[in-house]
Amino acid sequence: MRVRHVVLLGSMLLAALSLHVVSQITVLCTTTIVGDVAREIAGDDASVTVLMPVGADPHAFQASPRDAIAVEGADLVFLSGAGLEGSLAPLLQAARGRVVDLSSELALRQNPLPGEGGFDPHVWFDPRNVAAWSETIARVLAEADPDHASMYRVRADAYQKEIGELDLWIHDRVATIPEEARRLVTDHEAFGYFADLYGIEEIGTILPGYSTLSEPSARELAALEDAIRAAGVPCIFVGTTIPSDLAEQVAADTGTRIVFLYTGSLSEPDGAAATYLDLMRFDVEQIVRGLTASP
Amino acid sequence: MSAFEWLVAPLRYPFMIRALAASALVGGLCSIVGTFVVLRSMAFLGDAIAHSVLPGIATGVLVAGRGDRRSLFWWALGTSILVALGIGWVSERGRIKEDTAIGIVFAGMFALGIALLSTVRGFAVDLVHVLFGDVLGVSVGDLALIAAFGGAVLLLVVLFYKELVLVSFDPTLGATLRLPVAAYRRLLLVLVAITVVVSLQVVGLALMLAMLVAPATTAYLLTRRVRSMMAVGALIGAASGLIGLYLSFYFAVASGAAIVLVAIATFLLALLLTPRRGLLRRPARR
Amino acid sequence: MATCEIVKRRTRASVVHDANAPAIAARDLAAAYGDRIVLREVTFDLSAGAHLAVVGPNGAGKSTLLKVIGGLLPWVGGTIRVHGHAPRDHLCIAYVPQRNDVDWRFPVTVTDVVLMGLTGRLGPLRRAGERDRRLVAGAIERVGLEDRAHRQIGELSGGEQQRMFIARAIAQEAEIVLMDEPLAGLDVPSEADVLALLDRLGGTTLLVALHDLGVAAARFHRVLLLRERMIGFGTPDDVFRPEALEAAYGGCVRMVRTADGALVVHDSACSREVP
Repeated sequence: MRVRHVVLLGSMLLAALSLHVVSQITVLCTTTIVGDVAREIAGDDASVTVLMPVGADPHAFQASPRDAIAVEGADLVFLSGAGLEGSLAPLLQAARGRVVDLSSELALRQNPLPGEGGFDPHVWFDPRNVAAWSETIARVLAEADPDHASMYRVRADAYQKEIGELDLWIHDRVATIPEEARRLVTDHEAFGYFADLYGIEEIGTILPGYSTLSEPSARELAALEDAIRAAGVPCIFVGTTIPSDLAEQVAADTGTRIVFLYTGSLSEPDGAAATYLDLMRFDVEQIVRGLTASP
Repeated sequence: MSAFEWLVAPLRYPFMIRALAASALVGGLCSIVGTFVVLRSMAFLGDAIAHSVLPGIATGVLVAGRGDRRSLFWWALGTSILVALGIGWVSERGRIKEDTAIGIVFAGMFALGIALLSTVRGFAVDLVHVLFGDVLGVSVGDLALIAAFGGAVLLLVVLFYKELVLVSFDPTLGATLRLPVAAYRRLLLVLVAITVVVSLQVVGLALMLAMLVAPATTAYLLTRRVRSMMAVGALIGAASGLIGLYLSFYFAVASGAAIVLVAIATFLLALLLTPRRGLLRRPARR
Repeated sequence: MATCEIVKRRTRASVVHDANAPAIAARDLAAAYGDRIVLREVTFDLSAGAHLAVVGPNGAGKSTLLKVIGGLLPWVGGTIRVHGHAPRDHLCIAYVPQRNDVDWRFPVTVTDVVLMGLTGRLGPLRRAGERDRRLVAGAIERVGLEDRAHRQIGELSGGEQQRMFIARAIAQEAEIVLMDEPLAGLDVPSEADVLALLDRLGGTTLLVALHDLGVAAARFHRVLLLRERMIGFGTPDDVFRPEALEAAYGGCVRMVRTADGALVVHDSACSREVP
């Protein structure tokens, strides 16, 4: 008798649980950063998965067949946008659900070099853009899942408040860098939005252009080394997603240090940049410490 | 800018000095070994050995991670020597035609390399470096390896010079004289394998064949004897390396490709300027 | 037997030739390529210093026989003894290849090629010295190529090319010289030059694969007629009988002795069936 009751109760619970699970919408995000923001907004009300693993270089990501299945099966797909996921375009054609480019309405930096197209996709380094992301995410989630619309709204508002605080904090931190030291040399053009917003000058990059797939010519490297020497920067900031040997050579030749930043991906969950907010704080601390330390 | 300044300007940058040294060494080495590649019609074989290095590098990346470039050198070296000897063994068996055998190994190994490398998500950058070289990133340690192994190859060529020439020209004579002809053939394959790996950072896999073949062929058009062919080839190879890098510096083009283009241009020039019939005739030397 | 080309390097001293044995002694010698027997029933003795012409139609096994005797190919049946020892034991056998098998565009001069004959004796790590160069110069002189000594080999005429290989055999101090179709593609004067040179190689045991039965009959004391099996061995008169010639060449081939030498004609009017 008792056994039968347990079994009945158990199967009812299971049914209720699976009903709850089945009714959750599936959200697929391309990068870990987008994934983090989406999770903040979605909470437990939607199932969020991320395509790229931690540490993957979004510019060079190669999708596997399993990724294609994930894309095809998701209710919503969120892209960082502005051309970052260019290599995934064919994959996204097969998406069944709605594909949303989170940066489609943002003011994007354009490539200043004549004859080369493209936008700078590293929009997340301007926190206001991520706030706009969260707005879009909340709206899209609400449209797809009206039952939880109010929860999404609440979380989005809270997150935007946190971002506001982050923005102020960054301003304060950057202010501690002496004006003449506010100069940045990075491995590729990732910090354009950051530099524009917080008043830092970009001296140059090891790899030319917005993508990590470009190779510098000898002349470009020479020009960079000249610029580094002329600007007197104490360090070169490199991301963790690409091999740093060229940067190490340049640093050795110019007598500067290498400082690591997170650029295109979050860290592992137990690492220093497990969330977007952590990533920004870590990077800003690294930048401030790197630029204010004596060379 | 005066000609002198023009020549000296790149030398202000340590990375250029290292790159120039590496390019000259590699250019010379490729041509010396390339002399045998050309005379024995081993061009396809050389290309195959070059491309077969990829799975070794991929395994190295998987095992040792991306940061450790020194270990990648040893992985590449081990793989290329094994492949070279393997191709030699397969073509000695004689059951399939030699270039079919080489083609199969070539494609198979390259595909294996891509497959392995693709499990490292975001491998495109590493692949670009392996395919097209990364001469601007040559460190002092890299230079030391190039010099050491290049020197070893050169030493072996000098020591066994007349035997290598003999078995290249007339293996039957070699058999008649009871020389270990097969062993010398394998030695040559191993020398090509080492040369390929040493030259990887300067030229890259995709363009390796050109560096092995073009300067040596140019020298073939200009000389009458193997010794001069080797010397002239080495000079042309080294000069291509240097000129190519200067071009890369002043015209912002990829270094590996620039070097190869200079070598090819030299070849075309020689082809146009030497008389069409036979080799260039010269008065007999004393 | 595996086609293994790695042969242990002999010491500098060659094997001692057995004075009681003929230069070449073959008994029922057979050779194969893979599963296919290409040569069989070869039985003959050749004394030192003799000149033997090996004749037969295309594909008869002439090259194969020469290569077996030279220790370049293994044999699958019978025995072959050179001066009482296995062919591979000897360093004194020279092989002159067919002209097609040579890369005439290889950047070497006549001197370079003749010098190669010494490589066995020099060993690796050693360079040719003054004495070696004089040996080479002497060999080149003996074949009459002094004024071509520094030409690239592609510049030589057909006759000069053969003479160069003979010079190489001389430099190698070969006691047995195997020549594969040396007269192929040569004009009459060049042919005469080469044959005259061969005559002058008196003490050397010579085996020459030939196409031209007339030359074989006229200039050689011994001939060996092949068509995948040995058909005959002996003096030209003994071997070039009509039945033997027919067995070798099919159709109707006759040898005609004239005052100046021998002529071999193909009788196209003859109506015998090809066996």
